[in-house]
Amino acid sequence: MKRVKISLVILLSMVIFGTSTSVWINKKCRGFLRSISTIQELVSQGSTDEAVAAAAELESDWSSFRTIASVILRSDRLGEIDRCAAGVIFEINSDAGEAPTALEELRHMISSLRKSETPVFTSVF
Amino acid sequence: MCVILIRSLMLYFLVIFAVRLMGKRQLGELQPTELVITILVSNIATLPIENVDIPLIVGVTPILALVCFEVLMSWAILKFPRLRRFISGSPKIIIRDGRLYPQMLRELRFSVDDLMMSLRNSGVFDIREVDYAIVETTGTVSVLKKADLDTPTRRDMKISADDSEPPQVVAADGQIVPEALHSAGLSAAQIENILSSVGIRLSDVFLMTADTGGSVFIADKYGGKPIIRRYGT
Repeated sequence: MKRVKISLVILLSMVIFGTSTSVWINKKCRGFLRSISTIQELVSQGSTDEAVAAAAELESDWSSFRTIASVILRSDRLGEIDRCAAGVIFEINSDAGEAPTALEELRHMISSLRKSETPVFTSVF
Repeated sequence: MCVILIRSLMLYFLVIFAVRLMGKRQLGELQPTELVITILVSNIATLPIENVDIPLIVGVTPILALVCFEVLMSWAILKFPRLRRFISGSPKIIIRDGRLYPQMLRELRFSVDDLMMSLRNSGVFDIREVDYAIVETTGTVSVLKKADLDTPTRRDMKISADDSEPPQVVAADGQIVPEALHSAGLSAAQIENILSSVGIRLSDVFLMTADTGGSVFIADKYGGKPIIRRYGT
C-alpha cells in the first residue's frame, strides 16, 4: 500500500507540474504573439525606432523565457526560434524590406510551439 | 562529455528507484505488463543520455509515469480478479492425468519442441513421468510428476529431521553482524570463542553462519577449506 501511495503522489505531482508548465508556456507564447503583432503594426506604419525598441524588448523577454523553458523543451526547437528572434532587429533596421517576413516566421514558430505544448487531440496524436 | 556523464548517473539512480518502486516482483518472473514496462523503461532511459538536446525531464517523466501506472495496475489487479484475468490471462493446463491436450498447445502456440524444452527445464526428461503440466501466465511451465514416480520425501521414508530455522549470517567481512545474533541464539562472546576454538581470528572471517540447531559454517578470506562445526565441539 505504501508503494501505491507513493505512486499516486508522484503521478499527482507530475500532473500538477505538467499542467502548470503548459499554462505558463501558453501564457508566455500569447504574450510574445501580441508583441509580434505590435511590432508588425509599427513596421507597417514606418515607426522604425519604436519597432526596434519593441523588438529588443521581445528578444529580452524571449531570452529569459528560454532560460527556464530549456529545462522542459527541446533545445533544437528553442534554437530555431532564437535564430529567428535574433534576426528580427537586423531586418527592421535594414532596407531590404524582409522585416514582415521575419516577423511572420517568428510568429509561426512561436504559435507552433504553443500548440505543441497544449494537450489537445492534434498535439497528442 | 560531462553532461552525458551526469545524465547517465542521474538516470541510473532513477531507474534503480523505479525498479524498487515496482517491487521485488520485478526481480523474478515477469507478468506481461511488467515485461512491457521493463522494456519501455530501459529504452526510454537511453534517450536523454544519447541526445543532450532532449531535456532530462523528457526521460524522467515517462519513466516515472509508466512505473506509477504499473504499480497502480498491480494494485487494481489484486482488487479485481476479472481485471487480473483480462490483463494477465489465466494458467492453462496442457497435460492432465498424463494426457496431452494438443488443442491447448496449438492455442498457446506451443510446439512439441517448446513443450519438451519446458519439461527438461523443470527437471523432467521423460514425459511419462508427468501427471500435470500447466503453462503459467508468465509463460513458464509448472510440472507435477506422478506420485509413484516422484522423489520420496523424509516422511515417505519415515526419517526424522532436525527442526531448525535457516542459518543466519552472524559474521561477514571480518565483522560480527549484531542483528543476526539474537535470531541465531548466540552472543558476540560465543562467536569469538567458537572462532578461537577453530584457530581463526574474527578479522580473517569472510563468512560465518550459524543456526539454532547448533551448527556453524566458517569461511576465511584466503579461500581455505570452510569449517563446519557444532557448538561446543
